[in-house]
Amino acid sequence: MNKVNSFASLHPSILFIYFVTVIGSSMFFTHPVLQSISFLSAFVYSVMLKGQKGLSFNLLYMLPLLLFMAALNPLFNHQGVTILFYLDSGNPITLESILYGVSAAFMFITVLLWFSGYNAVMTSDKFIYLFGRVIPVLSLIFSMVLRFVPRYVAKAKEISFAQRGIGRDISQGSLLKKGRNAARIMSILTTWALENAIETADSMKSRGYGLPGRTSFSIYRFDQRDRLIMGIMVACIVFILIGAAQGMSTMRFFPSIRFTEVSMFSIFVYGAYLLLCVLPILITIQEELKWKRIESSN
Amino acid sequence: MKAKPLLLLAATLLVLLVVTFVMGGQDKVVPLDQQVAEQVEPNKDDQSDLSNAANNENAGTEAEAVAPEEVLTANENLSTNELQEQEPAQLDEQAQESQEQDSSAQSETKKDDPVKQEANANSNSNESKPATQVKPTQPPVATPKPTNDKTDQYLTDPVPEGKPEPVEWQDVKVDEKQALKATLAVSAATILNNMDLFNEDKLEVLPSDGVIYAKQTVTFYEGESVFDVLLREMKKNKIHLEFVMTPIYNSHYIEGINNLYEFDCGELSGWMYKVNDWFPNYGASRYQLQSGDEIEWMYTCDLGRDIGGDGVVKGNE
Repeated sequence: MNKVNSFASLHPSILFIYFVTVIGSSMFFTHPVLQSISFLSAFVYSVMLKGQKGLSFNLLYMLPLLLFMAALNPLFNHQGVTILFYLDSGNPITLESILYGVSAAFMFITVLLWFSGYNAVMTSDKFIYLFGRVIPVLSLIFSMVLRFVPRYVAKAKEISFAQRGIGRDISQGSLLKKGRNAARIMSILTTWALENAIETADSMKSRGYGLPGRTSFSIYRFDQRDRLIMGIMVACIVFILIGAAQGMSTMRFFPSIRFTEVSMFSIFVYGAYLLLCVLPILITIQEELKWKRIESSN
Repeated sequence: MKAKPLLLLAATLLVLLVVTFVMGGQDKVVPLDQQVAEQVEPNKDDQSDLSNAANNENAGTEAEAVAPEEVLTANENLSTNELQEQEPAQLDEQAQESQEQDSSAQSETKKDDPVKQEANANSNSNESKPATQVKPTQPPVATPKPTNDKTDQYLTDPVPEGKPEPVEWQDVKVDEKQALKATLAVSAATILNNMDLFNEDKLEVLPSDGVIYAKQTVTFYEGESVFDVLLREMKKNKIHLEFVMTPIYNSHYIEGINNLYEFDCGELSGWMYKVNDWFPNYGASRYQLQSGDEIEWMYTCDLGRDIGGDGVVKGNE
């Protein structure tokens, strides 16, 4: 198991519940404290998972997306009591609509970041392990679909490298030549995809896919550590749900901004949410420290 | 197989898309200078394009009118349906005739008391079979006062006698030297009677007496519309106002004043205006002000019925 990603070594059911909870809460909680907790931990975790590449990806794509989405809302939404200035058309730009745009943009980015973490941690074998019995066809299709794009990108790269060896890559030759090379690579990719589909089907058939009484092997166990973490998670989720039921998780933007006052209990709820969101980071760091200790003691 | 319902679903979706594309496209095609072309009435969904011999989608019950006879019976049904649904006050059967283009729709417009209306519909079905052909030769049937019975190119019903006709704001040159006076008032008092419907988030922006802008004299310039005056005064008094331009009615639609928006007090709520105690049947951007006009913007929670502006919704009596 990859030591940088020890969160992924937990039992699949825990991982699944975890991601459903954080993604769901990031979608529905608009309270600024909860939102920033979720955003920061999703950001840190995605950088931890992907390192330098993840950081540059976030800055290069997520940041412009965030700014764009934040700027879009006030152009179309003019609600709010705090008028900052007027557009040429005569409609007002309000503080509330700007903040709403920022909040929505952050929510969007946060969910994207959590999903990138989900993709790295919840591999398709884990998903099929969880749902293979309940929804066998759907879980198979789901895992195949998720694998589809990365797999084709990888194959396209492979073909492109091979073509470069004989001077027929997209980067070689005149503009017309480049186009023709691209078409050729596309054609090779399509041929491979069709052939691969047949091969996959044959392979599944020959291994007895869909036959009754077939068992599958899995290496997952629900051990002591899983139980501990499940306990912490469930406690956090209960706390957060109670807080959400009392309206602590949302904020009102229109006509004026309002959210529940900070109270003793709400601090507990924020704490529980913080604990839940940084759980993967904590586990990864803890595991790494342990690894270092073992290493240095030898 | 599972594929069959899926295919069916996909086919229905495709058909729906095509239909909406075709029908939606026609709204935009309506040429502004060509009144003979097909016209749509805002309140009633009885637009029918017979030349296409196509889906009379809006009419609902009669989806496909391929044969001329069917079309005519469809029209009849329509008028009787309307009879049941609406006040007997007036009925417009939409249909215009155009001889120059085979693309244009044909029809006739009528406005009569219900009994006559039904009779017309019947006689219509007897007389005008040739009219369903692509190139109609027959003039419109039963239009006593053709100029009075049409909607204009922005779907406005005829303006009652003695009331000002709509003026397109694009054509108007505002004369800034001619400062005139009018009075303006903005009130949401009806909300106070409908507090059970009211969006409670908006309680803080609702004045205790409902008056957002007490009646006072304002200055405007020759040629300006009701909308221009409202926009200027709201800006000047730092009162929030949101609107949107609606090209099909060539007017600005007021979505919210002082953060009190349409639909904030039930699904029949929104802003209406009246000038000299008359609710115009066209948009505020097309009402050109005269000196001494009394403008009132009122919030309604019941499509105008609670503020005496229901004539606009029903059509003019």
